[in-house]
Amino acid sequence: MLYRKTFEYRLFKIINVLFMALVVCGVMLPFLHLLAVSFSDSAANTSGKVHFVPIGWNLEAYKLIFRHPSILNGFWNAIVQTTVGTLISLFMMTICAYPLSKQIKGRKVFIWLIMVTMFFNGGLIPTYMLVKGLGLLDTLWAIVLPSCIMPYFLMIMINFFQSFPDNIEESALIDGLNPIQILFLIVLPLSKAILAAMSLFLVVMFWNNWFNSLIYLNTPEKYPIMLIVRNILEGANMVNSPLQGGAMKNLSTASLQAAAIMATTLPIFCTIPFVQKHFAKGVLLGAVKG
Amino acid sequence: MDQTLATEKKSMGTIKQKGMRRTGLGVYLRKNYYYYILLLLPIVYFAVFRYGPIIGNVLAFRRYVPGGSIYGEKWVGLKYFKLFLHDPNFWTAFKNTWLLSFYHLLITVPVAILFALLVNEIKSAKLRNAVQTISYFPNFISIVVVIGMMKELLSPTYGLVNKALGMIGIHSIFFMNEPGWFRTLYISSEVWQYTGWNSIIFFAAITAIDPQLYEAAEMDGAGRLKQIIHITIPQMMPTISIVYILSLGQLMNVAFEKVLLMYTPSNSQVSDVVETFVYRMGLESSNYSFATAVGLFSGILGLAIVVMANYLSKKVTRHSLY
Repeated sequence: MLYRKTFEYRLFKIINVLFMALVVCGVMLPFLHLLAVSFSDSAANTSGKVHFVPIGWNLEAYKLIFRHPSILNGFWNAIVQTTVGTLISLFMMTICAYPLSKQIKGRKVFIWLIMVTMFFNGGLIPTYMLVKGLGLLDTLWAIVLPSCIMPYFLMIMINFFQSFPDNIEESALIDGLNPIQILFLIVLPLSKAILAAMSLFLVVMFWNNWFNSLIYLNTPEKYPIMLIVRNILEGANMVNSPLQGGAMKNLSTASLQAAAIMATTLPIFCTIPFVQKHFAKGVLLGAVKG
Repeated sequence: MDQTLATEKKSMGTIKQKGMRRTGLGVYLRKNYYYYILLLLPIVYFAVFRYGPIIGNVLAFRRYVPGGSIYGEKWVGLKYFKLFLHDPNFWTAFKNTWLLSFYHLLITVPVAILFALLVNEIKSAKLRNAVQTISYFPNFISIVVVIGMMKELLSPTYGLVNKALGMIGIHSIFFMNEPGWFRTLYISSEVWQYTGWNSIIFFAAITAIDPQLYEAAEMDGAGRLKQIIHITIPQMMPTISIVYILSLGQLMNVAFEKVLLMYTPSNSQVSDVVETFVYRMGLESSNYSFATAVGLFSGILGLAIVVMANYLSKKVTRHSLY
């Protein structure tokens, strides 16, 4: 008898589907709970009555977040960091990956030198000292430049360009284009899948960054939103900082924290569906073959 | 990984033309210099931002004077190494790092493999896609947010988890402050955040397996479980070993940002890892040379582990990274 017909297999299938449902709930419920908390009344929150449905509709937390100048400024800083970082990073990785996908002389040496940096990096302090020595402290460049080529992403891009059909490029070469023109006029327009996947990874990386901002930026006006959220979550800066005053009176810490979490996470969640079909392909291009 | 990159695929720019009399470097460069122009900026980048800090590790052997050179002012030999090797705080941090990494390796990878196997058993493609997509959502959210959610859910006064525990008559636990819970929380949140994403690579490895193997096994009367043990797992071995070697490379640097966020004075006994030690010594107390020495030590140790793991894997499974 084939296993597919056996009772055990059917039972397994049912259990498996139930298990998957559990996984899905496990991922989604924390978000639902926080969403409910962020919209709930402070009394209901502090007494722990809120589960997955808001109790006592309260928009104060969001009002505070979207009206507060230093939080809005944090959003703006994060947008600047993310945009500049992603663009520079995409550009640098493209001009690095394309030549290395060709059999040029010295290619192996260069790839080897890149691989080394995946396993052995300078470490926290020497990197900090370098950024300091270059005079980049407290500037946007301290956040963007050190991480603008991620070796792992670079390997994925090299693999992608290697699988690019040669004959298109050959005919362009015969038409008199040079490799730089070919890259920007022909190859890149046809590489939307990898560019979309990389953009998503980079946007997420720069948007979620807080630690680099913590160590490299000294001026609170330059802090990105994620660092501000971290400070809100730590709770330290909340009472005596810009966030105090009348706005806090019917607002629980919990709902403010939940609202901060939601406001910074939703933009990411909203982007994922648009690039989703590209990125699984993108990440696998590099990964499976490896 | 390098081997796949080096697939001998001749691309147009570099095909040697027949009848070309001189094949010297000059001729080669005249034909290919565009590629090297493109590489200029990346080379500068790697020299400055990747190899610069590696060279910067000389600071571990030199004394730093505030306001002086970032590479230190005077050679002091192994002074800083001796200093931290005699520091009991370092050894606590060292032990914590190892334990955390060890549990991490032991649990997260097998969970991801198991998840991939189970997802593969879902026959409906739509359902499978939905489960996968949802499962890797958490991968994209910031660690700041994950820890924030944890604090919220585990709060002793209003947290959902403690409410649930209260219902079955257990006193509320201040999870985030309890040293005994630190590792469990660390690992389980790792599993929550990355299992879906990590399973992508294993899932792909499973789908790449030749279906004929399964048909043959089925003819021989193998049930699903036997098929998994005798076909799926062996076929996944290359992927599994590479993932393991790669994550071994990360052994010495546990998700330090996360530990930093989970750190509270009351759990410091278990939550201080080498990287947080470096952070506190270096950036908070400005003992730059001392902290560099600690970082260098753990970096070299990590590298040695990768090389060793790769060698072993080559011997035992014949799969290796390089």
